Amino acid sequence: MAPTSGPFLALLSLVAVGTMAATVLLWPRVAGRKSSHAAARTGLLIATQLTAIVAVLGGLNSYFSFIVSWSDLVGTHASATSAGGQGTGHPPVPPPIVVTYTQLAAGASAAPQPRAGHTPAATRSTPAAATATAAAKGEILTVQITGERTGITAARSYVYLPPQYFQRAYAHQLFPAVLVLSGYPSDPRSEITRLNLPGVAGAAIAAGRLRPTVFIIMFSSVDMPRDTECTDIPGGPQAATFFAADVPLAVERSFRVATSADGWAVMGDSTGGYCAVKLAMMHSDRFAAAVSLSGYYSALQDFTTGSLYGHSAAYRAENDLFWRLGHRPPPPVSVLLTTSRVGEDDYQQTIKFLRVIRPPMHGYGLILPSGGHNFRTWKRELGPALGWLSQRLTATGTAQPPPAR
Amino acid sequence: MGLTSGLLIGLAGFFAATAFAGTLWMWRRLASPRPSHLLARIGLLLWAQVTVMLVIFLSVNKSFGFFASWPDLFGTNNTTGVIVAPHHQSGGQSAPIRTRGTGALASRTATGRSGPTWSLTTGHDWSRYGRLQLVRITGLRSGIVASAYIYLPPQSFSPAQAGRTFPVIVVISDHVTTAGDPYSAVSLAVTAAAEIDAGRARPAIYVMVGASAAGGTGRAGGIGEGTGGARGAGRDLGCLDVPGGPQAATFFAQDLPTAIESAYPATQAPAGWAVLGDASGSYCALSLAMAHSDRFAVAAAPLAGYGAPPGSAGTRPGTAGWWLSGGSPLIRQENDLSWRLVNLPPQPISLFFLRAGQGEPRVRSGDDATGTPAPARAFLSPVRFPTHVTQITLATGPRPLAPALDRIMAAVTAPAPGSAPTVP
Repeated sequence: MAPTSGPFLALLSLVAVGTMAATVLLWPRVAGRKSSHAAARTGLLIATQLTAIVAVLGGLNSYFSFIVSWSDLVGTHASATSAGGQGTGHPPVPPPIVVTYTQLAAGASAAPQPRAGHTPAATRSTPAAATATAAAKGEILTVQITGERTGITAARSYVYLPPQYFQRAYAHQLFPAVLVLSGYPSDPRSEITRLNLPGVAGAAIAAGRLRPTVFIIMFSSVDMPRDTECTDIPGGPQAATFFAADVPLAVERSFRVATSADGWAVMGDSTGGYCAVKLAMMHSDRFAAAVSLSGYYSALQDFTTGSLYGHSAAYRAENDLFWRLGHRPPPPVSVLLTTSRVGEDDYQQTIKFLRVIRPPMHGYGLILPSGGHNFRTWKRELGPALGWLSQRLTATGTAQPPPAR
Repeated sequence: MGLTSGLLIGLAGFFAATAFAGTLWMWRRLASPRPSHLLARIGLLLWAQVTVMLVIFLSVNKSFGFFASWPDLFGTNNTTGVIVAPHHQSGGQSAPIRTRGTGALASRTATGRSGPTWSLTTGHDWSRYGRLQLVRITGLRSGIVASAYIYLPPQSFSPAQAGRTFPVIVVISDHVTTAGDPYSAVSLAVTAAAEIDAGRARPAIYVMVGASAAGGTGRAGGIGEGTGGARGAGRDLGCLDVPGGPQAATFFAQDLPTAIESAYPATQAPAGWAVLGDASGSYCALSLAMAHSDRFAVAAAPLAGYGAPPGSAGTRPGTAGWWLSGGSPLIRQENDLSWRLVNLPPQPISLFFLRAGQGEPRVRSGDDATGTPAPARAFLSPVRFPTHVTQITLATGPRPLAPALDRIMAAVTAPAPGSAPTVP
């Protein structure tokens, strides 16, 4: 029973309604003057309020997709680095990307929902008819990405392949790739269901504002319930290496995407925005551009992150984007930072950040008059952001030898 | 009244408190089974619930900034913005590679001698045996500037092979400029030219850099700035990114490859990049491959050069080891290659360990049957697939590194860009 599932939400509602009904019915029995009755009254009233609040929070959590699985809360710790056995035999190395579900991208408000034990890609037959519809609409693959170098596994990840990916005219084309990182906490599926990234990208491609581009959609935290902030954590998960080395190389091996920095960008909202700018600044040999939707610039460390920097003030400073601008040579990347004059806390910081950027780094701002820290705001910014990205992803290349699809 | 205004939250708080208190106050007057009382109870409870939830929603919304205004909440905020670019200063960006000298490789067969002798000439016949260049590499990202020798194989000057890319061996040694040393740029270029000419080694580009040169000069953020910078100057950084100090790993793993790829016909694929260190550059070579296998797929180093990062053991404040790891024992631990081999997933790399050939000190007690010293065995025992370890016995004579170059070049591959994808 997932925390966002109907049965679970129904259970929460049932508990709330039941508590309410019990209070109404038991009301007369605790109407006496005794202090025990007074305490019972207070207790019942608080219980009705608490159960109602829990039910509403459950509904909001489901709507915003903050916590979507119980392992998010307790953590699986399977994603951390593993020592493994030291046998001499070669253990089977899992493929870096496993496709667990495929759906057409058109009308993408329907969420890709992988079912347990769904047939993986190996046995996924692609009859000509299916390919024809994919060539018209594009596909969204639900994938699991395993980091060869870090041992990190990102189970809930998605790959959007534009219609052109399946068209004969593009059969030898290497597509630009954009890594999209969702905030903390969140479900990367929100980038599809609430931001409608595939829909907006598909429309922009059709309108000629965006070159056909492959999007890889992932959750910015690699070690739930912890917020890992895309940091190589000393003694912990190497989240930066995962996103800057493992994921791009795995995607390059599995899909027809560009293999040079001028064909790769990283984009994200909130924590994902901080991640995007940081990854691009630290790995400008890998990413040429970054889009930060309502991101921040400081090296966060709080109760959701735990110790991220090995108790080293110097290493924490390296992860502070303002510090980097002041103390490191500006990297050859372009960044687009979005914020709102009214409704975002990061407005002043963003303006200041844009002001201190020096070539060869280039900063651009997209500033709305008003808009909060939510997907509606980001949806308004997405179209212009994709057009901006398209101008910066200039890689051209062809795949050799011609791929099967 | 704004959605995030304190007044609104205060008002909601007032309603919530009065609803709570009012319910308790009215409790005893509504305790009869009459339908009107029943309805009143339900109404009071609902009001108490709604008001308290309003307080929670408004406070959470204000603190996280989810919705900025009423139109934002109701989805009617359709304001848009345009992308603005602050005035961009035109770049004063220096070229990543500047040539400072060039020589050609030459071979002469002297009468009465068993084999050809090789030398560096000032000629321009590069298409026969290749070219050796002295260049200066400016690290855009690290700010580190280092001199390097580049050997380009004769095939890279062949018009028939235009468009071909070559694998790259980065050699890190403090003896790049030491005449006669096997790791000197001239010796390496001569060895490479001879091996390529004889068909024993595949053609490759050689980039030869001093081990400490990369830490010796710097621009922003490190050298010459505070105590960290003073410490970094000219010291062995182990090709590490020092927190708050010189970024040697960024130089070797990002700046140098992108600079070489921009100026020479070098492959972009990590499988085509190798790094070779001598005793002074062995930790560099191994740590670059083990921590940056997305850039270097092959590392080669003398058998004795492995293990702990530079600087004395321990991370007491003030010591070199403490400074190199940003004062963090955890970072120091991650820089320990033995620890990495045991505790991190095995990297997709090939490691070559170079052992001296015949005429060198014989097997000592503690060595195993193959002559591998016990400390090396302990270091290598955790190695597991997909990491590969191979030992190479160096040759005797004027070009001891010849077998190493042959084997390294056999291990690196330079696939065509965008090789066959495995899924869709």
